[in-house]
Amino acid sequence: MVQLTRYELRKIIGKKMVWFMLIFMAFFNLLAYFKMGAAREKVITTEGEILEGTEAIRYMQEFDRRYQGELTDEKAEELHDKAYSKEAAEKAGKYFYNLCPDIIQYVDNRFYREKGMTTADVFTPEMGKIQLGYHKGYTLLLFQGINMMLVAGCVIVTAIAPVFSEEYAKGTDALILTARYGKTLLVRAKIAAAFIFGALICMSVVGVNGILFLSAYGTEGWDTSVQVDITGRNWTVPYEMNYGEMLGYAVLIWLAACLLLTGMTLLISACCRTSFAAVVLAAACFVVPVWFSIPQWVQAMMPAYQMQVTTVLGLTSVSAFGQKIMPLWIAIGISATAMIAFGIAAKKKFAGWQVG
Amino acid sequence: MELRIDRVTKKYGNKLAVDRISTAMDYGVYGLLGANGAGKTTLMRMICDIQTPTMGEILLEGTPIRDMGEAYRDLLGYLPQNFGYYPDFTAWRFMLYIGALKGLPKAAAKEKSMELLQEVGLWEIRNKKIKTFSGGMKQRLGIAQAMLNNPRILVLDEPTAGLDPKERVRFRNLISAMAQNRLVLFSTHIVSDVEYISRKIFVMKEGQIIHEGSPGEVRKAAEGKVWECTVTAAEADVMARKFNVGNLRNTEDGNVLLRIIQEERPTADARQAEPVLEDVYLYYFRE
Repeated sequence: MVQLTRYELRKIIGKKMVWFMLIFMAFFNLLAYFKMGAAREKVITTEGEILEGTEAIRYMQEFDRRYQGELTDEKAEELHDKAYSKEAAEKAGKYFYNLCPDIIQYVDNRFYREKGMTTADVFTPEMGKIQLGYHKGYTLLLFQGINMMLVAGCVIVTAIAPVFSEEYAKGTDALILTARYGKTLLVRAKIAAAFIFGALICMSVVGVNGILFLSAYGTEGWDTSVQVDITGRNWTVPYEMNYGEMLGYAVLIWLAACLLLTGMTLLISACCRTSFAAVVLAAACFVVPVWFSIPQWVQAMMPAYQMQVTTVLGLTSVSAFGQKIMPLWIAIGISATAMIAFGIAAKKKFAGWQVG
Repeated sequence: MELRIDRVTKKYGNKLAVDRISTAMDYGVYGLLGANGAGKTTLMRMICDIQTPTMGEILLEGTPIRDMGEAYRDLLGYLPQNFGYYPDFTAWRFMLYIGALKGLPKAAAKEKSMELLQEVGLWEIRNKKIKTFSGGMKQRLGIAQAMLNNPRILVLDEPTAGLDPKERVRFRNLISAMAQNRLVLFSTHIVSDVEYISRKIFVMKEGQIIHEGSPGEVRKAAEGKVWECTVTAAEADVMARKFNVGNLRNTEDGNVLLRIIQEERPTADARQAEPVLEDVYLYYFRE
C-alpha cells in the first residue's frame, strides 16, 4: 500500500501541468507578498515624519504597545483625539488615514465615522473584552492565506482531476482493473495519494506565508482580538477570539476545505472519461457557487467559501446537547464526513468501472 | 483447471454484442477468430472481469470469477486491444509499476521485469520512454507486463494487430513458448496467427461462436466449398463481383487463377481445392 501510494503520488506530481501550476502559484504568492509586504509599509510619526519599510513596522509596533490592552471608550477617545497632533495630521493631508497606524484608522472607522458610538454599541458580550495590539503580520498572513488558498484550490483541481479519468482516457484502466490490487489496494492508494497531495498543498501555503509574514512583522499581537480589524472582515465574528486562535482555526478550515475539494474532485474524476471534462466539472463545482446568493450556513460547507475563513467563523454558535457549539466544528465535521464519502464513492465507481 | 463460459450474453441497449456463448477451456492456446465487431473484445473483457455479463456466468473450476476477486486477478494476465501506457514512463518504470499493481514485492518485480524485458527484446532500451517506442515494441512491452505475475490465464486481445510479418511471427512464437501449463486465449482477425499455434479455434460472428474445434476440424467446415479455376483477366473482373473470391493470382500465361469459396461449383472447369483456415474465414465472413 505504501509503495503503491508513493507511485501514485509520483504520478500526480510528475505531470507537466501540475508543475506549471505549482510554479505559477509560487510566483503569484511572491508577487502578492511583495505587493503588500514589509518593504511597502509606510507610516507618519506623531512628529510628522514619514517612515518606510522595517522602520515603519518598528514604529507601529512601538505605537500600538502604548495602547495595548483592553479597548475602552476612553482609549478610543484618546486615540481619536490625542494620539496625533493637528500639525502631523495637516502635514499628511488627505493621506493621513493611509499613513497613520492602523489602530487609529480602526477606531475612527468603527466609532466615529458616522456618529459617535461606544464599545457597547459596537461589540456584543459574546465577543468578550476586546484587546488592542499590533497584529499586522497576522492580518496580512490571513489575507494572503485566503487568496492563496483559492489558487491552491485550482492546483488541487488540476492535479487530482486526472487521477482516475486519465486512466480511462489512456486505456490503462484495462490493465489496472485486471491486476490483483487494481480494484482494491491501488484505488485506496490513489485516494490516499490525492489526499496527501491536497494536504501538502494546503500546508505549504500556510508554511511559506507564515514564514514570510511573521518573520517580517513579528509574532507579537497573537492575543489581539480579531474584531480589531481595519478591513472589516472580522467585525462580524461573534466570539471572543484572538488572532492566534483565528490563525489556528483558519489552518483547520483551510485543511478541511482543501481535503473536501480533493474528495469532490476524486469523485468527479472517477465519473469522467477524460481529464479535461473532469477538470472543467471540478473547477465549476469549486468556483461557480461563489457567484450565487447562498445562505451562509450552506456557504460554510463549500470549499471556496470555507477558504475565506470568516464565512465559517462569522456564524453564530448553535446549541446542541446542552452545549454551545461553534459552527466551525460542525463545518469541519461535515467536510471530513463528505471527504470520506466522496473517497468511498470514487473507489466504488472506479473499481466497478466497465471498460469499453 | 477449467474456465467455463456458461450462456454468457452482453447487451448494450438494443445491441447484442455477445449472444449466449457457452464453452470450456483448460490448458493450451485458444484462438478467437472473427471480423471486427464480432464480439471478441467484449467476450475477453468479460473473461477478465472488467465488464459484467448481462446474463450468464464465467466460472473458474466451478467458482464464478466475480466472486473470486483478487484471487482470480492474481491468475490473470491481460493485454488489451488498445494497449494503454503512460507515455513519459520508461519501460522499466512501467514494468515495476505494473509489478506493484500485481502484488509483487519490489525485488521480485525487478527480477521478473529484467527477465521478461530480455525475453521480449526490450532490455537494451528499458530506460527509454514508451512514447518513443514503435508499435511492435509497445506490443512486446504489453505482453511482458501481462506475464509479470506468471499468470495461469493469459488473455491477449489482437496482440499482433499492426505488426509487420516478422514481428507477427516473433509474437506467435512468444505466445507458443508461453503456453506451457497455461490457458492462453488470444483474438485475431489474422488467420495465420491462429492456424499455426492454436489447440482450438473459436470462430465468432455477430456475438456467437459459429464454429469451434482444432484447426483441422475448423478447416473441414470449408471442405467441398473451395474451388480453383483459371480464367482470363476480363472474366476475372466479372467473377470477382459475382463470387466470393479468396485469392486472385496472375499466371505466367497472362490468365488469372481464382480461388473461390462457395457451396456450388462456380464454373464448369473449376476444380475442388484443399481448404485452408483463411477459406473458412472468408466463407463465414463473406458479407
